[in-house]
Amino acid sequence: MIIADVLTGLLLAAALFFFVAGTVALFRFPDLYARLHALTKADNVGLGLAVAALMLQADRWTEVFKLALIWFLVLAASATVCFLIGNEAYRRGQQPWTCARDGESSRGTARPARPL
Amino acid sequence: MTVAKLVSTVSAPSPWRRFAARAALAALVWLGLNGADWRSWIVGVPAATLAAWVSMRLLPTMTWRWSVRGAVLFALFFLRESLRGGWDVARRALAPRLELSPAIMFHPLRLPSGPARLFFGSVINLLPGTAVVAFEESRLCLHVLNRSPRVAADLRDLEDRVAGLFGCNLREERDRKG
Repeated sequence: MIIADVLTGLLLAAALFFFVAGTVALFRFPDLYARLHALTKADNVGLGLAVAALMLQADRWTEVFKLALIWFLVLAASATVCFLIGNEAYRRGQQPWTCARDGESSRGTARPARPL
Repeated sequence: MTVAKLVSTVSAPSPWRRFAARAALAALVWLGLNGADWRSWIVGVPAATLAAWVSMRLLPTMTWRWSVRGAVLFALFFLRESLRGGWDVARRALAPRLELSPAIMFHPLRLPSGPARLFFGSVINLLPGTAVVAFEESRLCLHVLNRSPRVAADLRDLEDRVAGLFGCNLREERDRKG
């Protein structure tokens, strides 16, 4: 089915975009907390799109089910791990990076946060 | 969210019926994983039984119910917000100038403690620009990517939706100012 193939291609391209953006965010974002956002949000959407793309290529319903289960489990794990890492950093008193001052410039100089 | 649909049909009269319902759910998952190869049930039946037993040990009773309609509506809302969250991060990451004004925020909890609150906390982590860093007695401590009044409004909206999904009442706050 050509329509399914085209849709799969589009969805995979979109998934790739979100994975790349998530990885860029992982490098560019200033501190642990902001990087957690990058990992939990962009990557989950990327995975969801990849799963949807592969579902269109599945021959049997069990494959669709397995893919859905994978996505659901990764979402659950991602939300939980995000909390565990963020909570541990917060408990240790790690201060989040903040802009120097609101309003004037979003470039902001980084206040050094205590490394983990 | 087929799980939600199945969960809502599980009634909770006797422990045995609950055990049977959960074993049936586990068997359904097994069927999904292995297809219709009947020999797989040599492992599948013990596995499903064990899963149901562990589930009964960890969560003896489920005190909440999801309606099918509520679960579907929430799933749609969740998908839309996930996309928005992913797009938000992607946009910020790829912008030439990093536009972040992160902050720690507190959100006064109106949901009763228990599964609804945990669910709320988990969903927050997947939605745009918010991540929970600590559960406190009556409030959540969050890290937000972009400090704005909209975040607080979004959180209240999400809390309303979770309360609707779980069918629980929100504790109305008095003399509290957002």
